[in-house]
Amino acid sequence: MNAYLSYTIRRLVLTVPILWGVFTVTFILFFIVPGDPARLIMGQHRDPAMQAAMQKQWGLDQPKHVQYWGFLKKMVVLDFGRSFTTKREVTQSILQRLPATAVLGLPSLTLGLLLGVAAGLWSAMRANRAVDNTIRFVTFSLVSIPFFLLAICLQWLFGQHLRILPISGYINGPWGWLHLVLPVFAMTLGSFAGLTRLTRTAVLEVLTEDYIRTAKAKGLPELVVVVRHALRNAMIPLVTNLSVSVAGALTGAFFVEAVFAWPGIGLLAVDAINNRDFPVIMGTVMFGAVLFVIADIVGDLLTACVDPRVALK
Amino acid sequence: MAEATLTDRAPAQIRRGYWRDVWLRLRRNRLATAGLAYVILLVLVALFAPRVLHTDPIVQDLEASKQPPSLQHPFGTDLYGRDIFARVVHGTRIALIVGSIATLVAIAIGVTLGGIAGFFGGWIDHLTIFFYSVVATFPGLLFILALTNALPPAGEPRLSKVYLAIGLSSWVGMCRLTRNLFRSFREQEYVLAARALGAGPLRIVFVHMVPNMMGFIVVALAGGFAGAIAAEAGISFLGFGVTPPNPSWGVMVSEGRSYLQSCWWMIVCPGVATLLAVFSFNLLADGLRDAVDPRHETL
Repeated sequence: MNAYLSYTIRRLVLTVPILWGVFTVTFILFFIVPGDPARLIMGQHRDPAMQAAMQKQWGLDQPKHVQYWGFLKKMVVLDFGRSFTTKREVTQSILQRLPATAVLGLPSLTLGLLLGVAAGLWSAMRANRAVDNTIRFVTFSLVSIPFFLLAICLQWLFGQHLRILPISGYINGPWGWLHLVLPVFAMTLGSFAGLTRLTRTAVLEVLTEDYIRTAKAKGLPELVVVVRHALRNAMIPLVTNLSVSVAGALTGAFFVEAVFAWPGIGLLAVDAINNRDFPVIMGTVMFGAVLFVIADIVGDLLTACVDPRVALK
Repeated sequence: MAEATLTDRAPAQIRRGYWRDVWLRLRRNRLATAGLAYVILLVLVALFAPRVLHTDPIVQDLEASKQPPSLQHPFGTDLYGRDIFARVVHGTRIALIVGSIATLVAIAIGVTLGGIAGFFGGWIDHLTIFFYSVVATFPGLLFILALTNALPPAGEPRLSKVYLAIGLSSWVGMCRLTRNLFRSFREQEYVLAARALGAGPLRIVFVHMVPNMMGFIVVALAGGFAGAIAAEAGISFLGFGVTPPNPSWGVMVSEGRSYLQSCWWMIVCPGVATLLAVFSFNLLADGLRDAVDPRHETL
């Protein structure tokens, strides 16, 4: 346990410069470029006095390096300041939107993982047969279809054509949870496809190992061989790729939230970029970055957990 | 599927006929060949169709609004009476421009940075790893959107911003791959031999090492096209990429969304165009992956 703890601490320390890098890049991309947020927010009704007041209020009139240090110092204590447009605390807005995104992301990642492992396993067991070809074709198509198109297709089929599910908006009312079905379905398909392909490749690789032949030779049924012997080792790449799955789900969330008008963090970020709402952009970028970093560390810890050959260093 | 007999040759012969072998292996893969055929069709359409086709994709004709597909308008017309066929054809051009430039930018950055890091090692290597870790940690879509926002000229939508942003944000995979490959190449005899003969670093990298990873580059090229086309359609759909009235497939899907019930052709035509393009580039990439590296197990 001690090895895990010290590894985690070391990884967290190494994360600090990377998060600093993400912060700096975001700052440069939004703050060094010309174009005054105050002016953008006022739009048509521009009033120089008010613009100056807004600039002063947000500290936009100060030199860039002063602004940079100000933001950086506050960010260390997770304070991103207030939104330029809604005037709300950014951390508050993100925390408020978090459940909406989590309620899409967690079930779809879990479902995608379960279904993906099952389908990948089945596919590998029947390699190059009809089942395998079908699964490969379906997952290949799913990987190729742009996410927003997939979401729109589902929305049209179930919401507008069959009229059995609500097409957009957040959970409300007694049957409100039905609003969850389509967005979760869309995101599940996304993670399902990738994980199926990963599982299939991993299982096929493991199936050529000697210990699988031994297991078969001693007369174990095929299913037992595959589930108890092959799957265990085939899980390793799945666990290692946890951060990739999380990053994929996060990108998927942007499009799914946009298509289904789902008030999650993805929609918050897209609106913020539209409005050049710098504090919110910084908040959502850092949120995504931290999520990725955590998934990466957890993935590596789990890999060490399931694979004794991997040493934590 | 790769045949073992093709690979069991003397090294000299492999060197001479490598691309011929790749081509033969690719041709045996029917799906990949279909993908390649569609890709060639797309390139031809992008190059020549706008010259042959005399329908303007942008001029509005409000009298002809929302017409279903007919002989005159094979894909129907949109809300402003613009011919959707002409728009999809011109959209092919946008998709391929974005795909090619974004992919070339990404591969150029990835191979150069990864090559330098893998070849020299040391602090340059550490710096490069730090660099790509930052970009990999940045939420992907937000990075593209932030770049489109930041690229000059500020506030003006330009196609160049779209492909540069996609290219500048998608080099990490190529960089990591090149770095790891170069680290293993560095230890091999042919590099040692070249160095013993007095070759400088530039010559070793470009004459001896890069040709050894051309296979990977070709695969990344096809895969990058698929990714870039999907990314362009995606960010244009969200309203950050190509702006109306320019006929990007993503813009058309976004415009057609409100008329999904009444005018299906407004969304189905550009949607299917995007899907087929991404699909065929992916098929080609998958086929190439098997063709350039026969040991690789097909997905």
